[in-house]
Amino acid sequence: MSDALIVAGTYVVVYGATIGYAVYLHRRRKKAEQPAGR
Amino acid sequence: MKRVQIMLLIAALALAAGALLAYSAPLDRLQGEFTRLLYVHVPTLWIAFLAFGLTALGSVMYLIRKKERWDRLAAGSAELGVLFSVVGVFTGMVWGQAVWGQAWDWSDARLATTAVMIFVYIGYLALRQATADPEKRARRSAILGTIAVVQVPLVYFSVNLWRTLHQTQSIRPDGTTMDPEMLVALLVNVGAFSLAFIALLMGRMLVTRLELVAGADTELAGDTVSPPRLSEIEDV
Amino acid sequence: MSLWRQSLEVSRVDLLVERRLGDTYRIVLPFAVVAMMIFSLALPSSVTDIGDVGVAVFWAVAILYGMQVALRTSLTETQQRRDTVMLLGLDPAARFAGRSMAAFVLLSAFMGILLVAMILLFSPELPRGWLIATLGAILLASAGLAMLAVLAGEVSAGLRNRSTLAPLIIAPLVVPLVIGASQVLESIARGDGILVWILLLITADLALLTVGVGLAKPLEEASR
Repeated sequence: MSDALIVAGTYVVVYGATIGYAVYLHRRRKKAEQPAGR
Repeated sequence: MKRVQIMLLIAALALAAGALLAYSAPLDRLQGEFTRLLYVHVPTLWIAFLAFGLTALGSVMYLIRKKERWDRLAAGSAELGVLFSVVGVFTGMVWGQAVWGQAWDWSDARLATTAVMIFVYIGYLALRQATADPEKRARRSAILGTIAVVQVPLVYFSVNLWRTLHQTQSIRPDGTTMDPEMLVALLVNVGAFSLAFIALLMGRMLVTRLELVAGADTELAGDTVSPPRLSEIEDV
Repeated sequence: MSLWRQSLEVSRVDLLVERRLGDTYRIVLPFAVVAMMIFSLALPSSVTDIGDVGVAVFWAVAILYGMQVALRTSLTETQQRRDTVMLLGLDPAARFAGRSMAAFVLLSAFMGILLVAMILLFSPELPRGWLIATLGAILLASAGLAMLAVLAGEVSAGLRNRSTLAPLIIAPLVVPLVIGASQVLESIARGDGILVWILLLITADLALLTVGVGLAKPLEEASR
């Protein structure tokens, strides 16, 4: 595995985690804003 | 909501700029391609410690002021703290394995403290998840947060002590003698990740508030106090 | 009743409950000894002298199982008792101190017996002055662990999963105690002074005491 690939992969993980958390927040927000159908 | 979205946009732009700089900065002779890991490793760990500090602050302030916003700060920071600690440790391990042939090093006080912090957070989040009543949850986690504030620095101190006496100083470069281009790339990335953290934290706190408002189906206040049934007390 | 007398009374009750209902010495202690045996069995054959790891295994098991010992008292407590105690006006700081003292007594004895078992199982080389040093370390580590356990027990009181949550909360925070305690004996073996480790343990204990007493009131309110 080339060095550059490992580094790039690590970057993907880092940015992926950051973006992933933003997506997670978005999902929770959508769920909270739904009218309470309980 | 709008504010959060604007912050997220700014953060995204900053991160993109950071990535560009990371890939255009010169490489260190010894580390080669792995030099670039510095630009994500340092910022993520910096944020992890910042987040921990905010959780601590939120916890203490909640106990003093009892304002729910402090609790939201503490909780949101804790979540982000776990995320960025784990990512930071991961990047550190990749770097350590590649450059030093050793992914982990217990004698590095910062590493050890980060590891302990991660588990403190996990316990903190587990406690929050297990407590249904919002006020109880806020109080209890604030107390745990305050206990952690006192003990975690001790962890750092004790590992340092242990390392000094063992004379097994692992020389993990802090990047103190750095090419100015590298320094700029690093600072921009630290800034960018900080912005991302702030944006995500704001978003998290907002979502928590939305959920609190929407969560009308949590237990009623009445069941927190019940009279003690004195006759049932065991006679010890 | 003075704060001190209140604390003593709380301790007395906790210890009494342990004597009547407790399984620290009947179950947890044997369990811990078996744990040490499992450690010695799991060691690779490259470890020719298991005495080398004996002390380390002792401290690891003492702390990990000690948590269970120290959490015992809070596990048997009922909501009614907490309510009564609060209504009777028992000072929450006295309650914290009393419960910690009881846990401290139980833990110290537990670790003392475990130490003997370790010596028998691992036959470690014991340098001069080891006994006093180790007993000192046991007392200081027990004090810290006791207080941590009381705090963790209170913070997780009434929760369904508290028997798994409380140990998780304690474990990472106990690291300074583990480092301090295990380094005491190692320092003696090397011929170094142990003062710094003793001071570390004392600092950790004092920090926990301050937090425990300082947060006693909010803790009482929060754990209802």
